[in-house]
Amino acid sequence: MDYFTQRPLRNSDIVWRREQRKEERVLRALEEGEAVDEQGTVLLVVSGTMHQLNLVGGMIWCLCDGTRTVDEITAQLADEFSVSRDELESDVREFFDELQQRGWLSYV
Amino acid sequence: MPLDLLDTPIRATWTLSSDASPPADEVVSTITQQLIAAGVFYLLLQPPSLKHPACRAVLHDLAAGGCQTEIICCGNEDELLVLEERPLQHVGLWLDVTRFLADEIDIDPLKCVVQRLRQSGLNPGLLCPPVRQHLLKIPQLINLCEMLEIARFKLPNIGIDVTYQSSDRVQLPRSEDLAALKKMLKNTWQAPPQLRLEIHDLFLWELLVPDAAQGREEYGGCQAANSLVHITSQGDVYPCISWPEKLGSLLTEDLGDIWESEQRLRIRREIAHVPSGCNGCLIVDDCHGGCRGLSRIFNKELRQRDLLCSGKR
Repeated sequence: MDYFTQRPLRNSDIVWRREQRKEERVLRALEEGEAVDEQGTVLLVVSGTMHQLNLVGGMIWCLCDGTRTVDEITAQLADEFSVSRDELESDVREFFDELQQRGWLSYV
Repeated sequence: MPLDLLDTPIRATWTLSSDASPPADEVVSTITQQLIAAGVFYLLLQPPSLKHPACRAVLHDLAAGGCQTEIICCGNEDELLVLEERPLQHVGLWLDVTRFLADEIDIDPLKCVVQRLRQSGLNPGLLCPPVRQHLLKIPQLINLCEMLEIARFKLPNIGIDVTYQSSDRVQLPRSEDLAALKKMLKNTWQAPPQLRLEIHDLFLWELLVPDAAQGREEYGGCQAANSLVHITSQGDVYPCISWPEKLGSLLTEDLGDIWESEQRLRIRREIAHVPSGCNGCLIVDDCHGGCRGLSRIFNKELRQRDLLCSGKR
């Protein structure tokens, strides 16, 4: 199956939540041109250990509900951050590969 | 990515009830709704929560709200009767073994309580507050878990009563107690592989899980007033069960707002600052000063080094 038509699905054993107040602060910081790569906006607990995803990673994670294809997720992110798909594709793929390797998501 | 400031805690301890003045149902309901709204993932209900008439409704609401809840039972007759009257649902159960620990472990009464809990459809883990007088009994308790086919053993954070007295420090373990435990365990110690250990103190964890070093990079330091919170029966909010400084009340304030307060941020700044007693230590980047709630109150003479730390490495 073509990679871009696969639908990523979060591992249901992982407990997670969006940090909404934090996300608002990070978005404001982003608008002001600050670096926000190291700021977590989604919190996950995997086998008792806490992890955080940054703004982009968190947005991708929230979209991985098994209904959207990789292609649709990439398009949505490109729209959200006003960048071209080409700029995003390799980063998104790398992120998905890492999550899959960790067992945090699968494809349906 | 290091864990930074969270919007609200994800792990809570809650003393739902109190023998002296059980809270009104409305108080219990308000706290429950606050915990759900805050997105708390895990909740540990402290004794004597089981005795409160609203306990079952609370467990139901928490489960519906996506909060995984566990409750501590002391194995008293009135608690057992509550559990035998109607099976408890939506909850994991811990049996606090304190009342079975005299000079020796009262094994037969403990076995009897475990059996009664199992007959009520519950599968308890054993929980032992790691206070000084319990420390040397831990290996025997772990063996007992194996003997009774108990799958989980927990050494929780030591709770400090908010009205703590200086005499309480007698109960707190010190580095010499840890050294005695280490001597007792010898180098051949291995916990039974099928037993799930939950050890909140870093130094005990390091000792009881000898291959712990592999997981150490995941330890981000004391989580009081960040991912951790403690709630009293009257809704008062504390950074952690081991840190007796009131941050606010869930009866009058939103937990998210309390987590944005200057007082909470000051505590996190204090935790981010390495205790002066740890200056120059080679492992401080791993342990981050250990349990900061206990050390800031009870280890001032050692400049707030962890109570179980034997000194700079």
